[in-house]
Amino acid sequence: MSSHAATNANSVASTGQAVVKIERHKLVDRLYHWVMAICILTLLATSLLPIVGWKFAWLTIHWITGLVMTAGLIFHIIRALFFQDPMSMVADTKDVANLTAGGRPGKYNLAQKLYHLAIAVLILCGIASGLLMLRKIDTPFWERNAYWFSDQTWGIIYAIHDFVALSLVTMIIIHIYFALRPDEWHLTRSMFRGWISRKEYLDHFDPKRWKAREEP
Amino acid sequence: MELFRYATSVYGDKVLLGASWDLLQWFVAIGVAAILAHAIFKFIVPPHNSGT
Repeated sequence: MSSHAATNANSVASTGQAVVKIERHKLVDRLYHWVMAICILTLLATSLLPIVGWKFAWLTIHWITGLVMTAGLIFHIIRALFFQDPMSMVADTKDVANLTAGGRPGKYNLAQKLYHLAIAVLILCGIASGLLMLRKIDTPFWERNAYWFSDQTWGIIYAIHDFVALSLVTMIIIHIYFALRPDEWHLTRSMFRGWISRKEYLDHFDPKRWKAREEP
Repeated sequence: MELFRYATSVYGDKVLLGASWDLLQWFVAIGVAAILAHAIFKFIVPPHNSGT
């Protein structure tokens, strides 16, 4: 991440044919991304497929996946706040100015930062409402208690959870579209292999705003 | 188009159940519309080397 800084990109300009790799995502962050992707797709499949007519025993898969995602999110929050540079994901005036000036972004551009903010709000609302909804089902760890809240309050909690699910459908469609766009392939590839080339780094990013480091 | 699902309680009250699943097609449509809007925008507006 940018806080690790110490780029020596200038020193590698004459390394011949070899591709100079600039680290963008560590393995642990890529694993987190793909675990979350699997969790979200599983949660949406187990909640929405029965609605469109594909009936199966979805509930156990759904709540266990929800707990896995919750654990993943806690891990991500701790890692982002204490081991990464959280400000690299916060929109600033420079990002807004780039809209008209056409300057290059730091590690993440404005659209990515706003997308991350939106998906963070949605997932936090989904997890909060989902954890409350766990009180209405029997699990190996507790017995259901449907009277924790009034019917009206339960309805609001369910509505929040439902709107999160519906919104995530929109967000995933948009996310996959950007991942497949040829002009974004360097970002998509980096989520698989962890790095971008030095040329991609210099073409697409402002080294002053994202002080990346080379892969060993 | 309903925004919410309701049921009737044993006391005859209208009880909120959650969001209406009829909305699913609209959330899909919003996603597709966003894709089309961005694709058209990128087609019309020449790129400026912004990394976006």
